[in-house]
Amino acid sequence: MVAVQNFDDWVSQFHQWQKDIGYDTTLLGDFGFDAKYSEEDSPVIEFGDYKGRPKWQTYGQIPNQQVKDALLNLIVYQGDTEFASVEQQRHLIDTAPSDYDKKSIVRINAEEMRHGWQMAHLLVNHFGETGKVEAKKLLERRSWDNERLLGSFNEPVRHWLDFFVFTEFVDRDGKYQLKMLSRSAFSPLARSMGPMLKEEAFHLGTGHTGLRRIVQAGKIPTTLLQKYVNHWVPTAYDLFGKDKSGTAHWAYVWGIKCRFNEMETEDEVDKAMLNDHNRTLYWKECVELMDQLNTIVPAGETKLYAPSLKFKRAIGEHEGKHFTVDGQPFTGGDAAYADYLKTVLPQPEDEAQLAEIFKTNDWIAPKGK
Amino acid sequence: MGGARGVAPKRYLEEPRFLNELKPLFWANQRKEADAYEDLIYALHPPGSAEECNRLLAFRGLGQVAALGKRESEQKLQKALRTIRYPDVAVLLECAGIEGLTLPKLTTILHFHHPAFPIYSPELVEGLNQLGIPAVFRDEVSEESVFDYAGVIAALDRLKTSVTFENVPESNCFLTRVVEGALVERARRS
Repeated sequence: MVAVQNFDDWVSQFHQWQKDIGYDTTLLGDFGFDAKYSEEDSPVIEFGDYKGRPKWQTYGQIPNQQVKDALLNLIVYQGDTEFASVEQQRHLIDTAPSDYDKKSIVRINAEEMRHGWQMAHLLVNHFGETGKVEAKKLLERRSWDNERLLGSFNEPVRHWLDFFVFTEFVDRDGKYQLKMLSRSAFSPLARSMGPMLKEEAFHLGTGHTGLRRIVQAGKIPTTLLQKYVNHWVPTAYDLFGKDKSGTAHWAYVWGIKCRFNEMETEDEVDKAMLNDHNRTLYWKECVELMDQLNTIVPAGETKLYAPSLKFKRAIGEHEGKHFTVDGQPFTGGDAAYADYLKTVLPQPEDEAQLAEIFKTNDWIAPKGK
Repeated sequence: MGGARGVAPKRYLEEPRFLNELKPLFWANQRKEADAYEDLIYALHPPGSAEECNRLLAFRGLGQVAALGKRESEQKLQKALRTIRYPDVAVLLECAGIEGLTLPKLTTILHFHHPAFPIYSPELVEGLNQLGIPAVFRDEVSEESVFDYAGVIAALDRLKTSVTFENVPESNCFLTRVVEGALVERARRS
């Protein structure tokens, strides 16, 4: 790809990315790719050491290089996830279980592309030559080559069960990240979040409704569905970052990323535990979502659950350690733990069972069909 | 412009109030419609035949349109459904003159093919009027009513832009449907 000099250059490369990943852009219809900025919630910084001072409207107003670098990093990581999710999901369009599901996934893909577009708009227009280089790189990395920056976004989304679990849980992490940035001291970033969060509500609703329809149909046993929850949710826990994170600490101090419930809580902030705080709130929400689904789990089927925060973690205090899905230390060696994981995570025989189930469209049939 | 001196136009008071209640109003409407919406939205395989469209209308409690059974009428309807592009509704005029096909029935069929389009109903218009947004309900498919429908779409688009993310429910429904459903519920409660 040639260098990006301005946003029009980036747009040309965005269209090339769509072609390169094989996305049928005729499906997008008249979807408008625009950068959207909402009104400011507050003209002043609302937390951290710069609280009360006017928000930064331009790159030049950001106090120092460390803060600029931190903002750049946050925007790059957010943008990376958006294009990644389209790369992961694009192959599912032709196997949509209904016309409306096809419309839903196309809309989700379009909006994720727009979210990536939004992040690139920030990078190109505010972060100088470095921003332009990073915006270009957003379109160069590929999920299927394990090049995306965060673990969840290099995992294949193999089928529509994966898709609904992904949109329920991994997109939900996205909700948390976007909300935490929605009060950022850097105003263009903060004002980008409102429109993105409105669009994200549809993605989350698609995931939860999809899982509800699957449970109602009763064709995929809940024990099988649970394995896919156990596969994806720990990757979402990891997305919140390391425990006792210095990065999170400074992002808060500088006023660029707050707690998820910053505007709703009176609690004193523990800056050493920011990632853990947000991750715990997320876990609690996952538990509630499972409780909602459990109200319709058919009699005789096992109830669903959110796996423990300690289970199958790839970063932080519990990285690589042997815990069960309910957070108990696993007593047994590596081989025994590997055998245990086979009972709680998707295996080839589970994929084969799903492939059979998917052959008849009643695995997610509407009620009464 | 607006009301008496010193009195804010109704819209500036009622709209924020409505948007803050969007979630509970929407979910209340969805609960009432439940089967009549969800069983259809995932089951329809467009473009629907005349028979499928009539089944859809009957399921929604709107009765049927016998005239859709005529080949010419079915073709007009399917052409409109194939060629319509949001938010331009002029093509709906091609369906004017199909006996028994009212604008509420036509937009019901339209919505289940293209969920970005709202279902035009007396309740939706009443909901908009309650917010101080002028809208007129006409039953027939005509130049005036299609123009009114375009105005309703524009009003909903503005509400969609104004609503803050905190008030948007997590739902598999398009935001048009969310706002429409909330307005209908609000009208029902008054």
